[in-house]
Amino acid sequence: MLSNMIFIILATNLLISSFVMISTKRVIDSALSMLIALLSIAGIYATLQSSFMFITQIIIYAGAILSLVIFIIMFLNIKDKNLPHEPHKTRDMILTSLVVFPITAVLIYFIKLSDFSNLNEKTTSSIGKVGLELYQNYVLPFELISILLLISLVGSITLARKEKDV
Amino acid sequence: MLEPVNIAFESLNFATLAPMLIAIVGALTILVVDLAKGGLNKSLYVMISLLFLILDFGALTDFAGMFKENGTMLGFFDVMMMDGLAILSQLIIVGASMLFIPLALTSKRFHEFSYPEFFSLFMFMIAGFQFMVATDNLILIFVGLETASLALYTLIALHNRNKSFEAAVKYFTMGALAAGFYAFGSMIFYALSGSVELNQIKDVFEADGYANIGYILVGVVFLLASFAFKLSMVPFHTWTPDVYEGSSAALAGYMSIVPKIAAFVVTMRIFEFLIHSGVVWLEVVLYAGVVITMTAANIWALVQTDVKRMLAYSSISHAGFVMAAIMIGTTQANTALFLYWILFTFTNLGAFTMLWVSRQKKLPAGQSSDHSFDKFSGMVKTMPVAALMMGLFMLSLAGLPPFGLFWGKVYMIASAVSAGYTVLAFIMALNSAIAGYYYIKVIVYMFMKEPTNENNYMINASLSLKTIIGIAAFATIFAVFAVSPLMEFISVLVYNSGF
Repeated sequence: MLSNMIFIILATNLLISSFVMISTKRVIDSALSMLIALLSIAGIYATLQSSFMFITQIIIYAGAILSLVIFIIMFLNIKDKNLPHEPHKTRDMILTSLVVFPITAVLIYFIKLSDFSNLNEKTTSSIGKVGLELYQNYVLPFELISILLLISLVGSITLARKEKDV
Repeated sequence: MLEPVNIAFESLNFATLAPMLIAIVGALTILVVDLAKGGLNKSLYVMISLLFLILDFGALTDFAGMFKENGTMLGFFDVMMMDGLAILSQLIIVGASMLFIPLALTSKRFHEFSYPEFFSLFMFMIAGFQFMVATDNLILIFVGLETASLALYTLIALHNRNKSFEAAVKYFTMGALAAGFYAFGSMIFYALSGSVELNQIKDVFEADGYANIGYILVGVVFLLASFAFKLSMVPFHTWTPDVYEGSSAALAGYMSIVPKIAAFVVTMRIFEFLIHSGVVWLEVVLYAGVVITMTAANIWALVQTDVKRMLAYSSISHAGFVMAAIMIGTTQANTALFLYWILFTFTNLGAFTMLWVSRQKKLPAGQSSDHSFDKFSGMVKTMPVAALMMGLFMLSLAGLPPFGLFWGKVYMIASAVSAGYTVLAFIMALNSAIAGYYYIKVIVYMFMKEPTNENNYMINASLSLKTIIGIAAFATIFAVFAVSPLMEFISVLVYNSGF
């Protein structure tokens, strides 16, 4: 009962903040409501006792990605007059959600298809399981991601110091 | 408390990683050399890259020999898979890279080559493509693809033109969308089969007789869209001419060959078993895609005023032509695909290098693009040899006997006929005829028109660029002698990997 209550609170939070995120006019409001949405998702992970997902959600999404987004918003200092003119915003939003609906339907189907019966015993030690899987079967893609990060580091630094002519 | 993990070192089969590790070590070496002493000449970096690529190529030929004896090699918990397709496509990737990297030694000074990071990123990109083809694990394919693409975006952006930046951003945005499609499609396959290994996915699908066919098709749509972006199939081709125009001619030529062969191999792995599953829908979609890509790209190429844009559309059309092999799906067609692509590599290398030697640092006055048709007018009077070379590559691209690409087209059309696709074979032949028009247009400009006032065509030429053109011309003219041993080599590798 209590967990249901918590879930309902978190889900309502998530829905409202997601809606505010796409409908608000000021960029910083969008970013902050995105933060609330991400934290609500983290809360839902926590109620499912999925500790690994909870931690990654907080650290990566709410922590790293969102601070990057806010940093860029502050860095660019976007004024109202710089925003694109969107006369048919509501209509476009409804049309987009209609387009995205089938994809969401597919996702919901697969969620229903998945086997959640032994979820709890699987997830109690999920960090260990994830770690073992990552460092055994998927050690090669995992290590290749370090190369990927090195490339983006080298590439972005080279581009940033590129001299301009022409 | 977790159990300690014990894995025998031999079971990892570390050797399967050797070719990629050579490329990665090469990339790191370049970074370290720059760290130790900056401001070295670019020829050193070209030579280091070339050295590691030769090592890489040698390792791969060794693998080809081992494959003929022992069959497919698996490594790293079956994530790595060195089968015939992987070895063959890596040979093409590394071989083409070896031919393209000396194009950095131009006589004009271009900005991007003064950065050692350019060569380092180039080597990383090759390693990424190698990982992408040498696996049937959807996750490693994804990571390899992203590794290679990120490096490629940066390489494009390093070229010093405003248009290059635009091209890189366009390519990046499109690539990100394609990556999203790929992830969604793979997710559906994983959800349906519980595995990310393509051969296990195939087993699961066949075991339940394609029961979830509707959802499989949703997954196929997303994967198809993602690879259609990479292969620049119509209607996902719109980025191609802009990106080719914005990047340097050398890199544009490279992009028309190496990323595409990697994408072809992955497409072959994913779609071949799905086509044989007897799902008619996929065949129809691919059939339509192949025909539209070939024909529409040819028609757009007719109206271009810039030779580089024309070649961009021509490469789209060639990609459509080759995609037909994946739709046909017989061993003969798959063999023809690799033969076609090897011959196409040499011809396109020559054509794009001919554009590269004519590159000025600044745009010529009164011209909006680097390689307009006017630039080539009357070339035979001022530069007879260069005009002859350019004509040779154009004729080969048009598929005139006895030049290289003719044999590729013959084998491709023959495989279509013998698999019963007579109409498709007819359309392919018809398209070769349409394509003839715009290739001959360049020749008409070169041989029939009067030269324009100032002709500085070979402005960017250097000994190494001329050598590369010589190699490409040699390979294009004498391809006829190499076709049958090549076919034998390719068919052994392709057939024994089950394609």
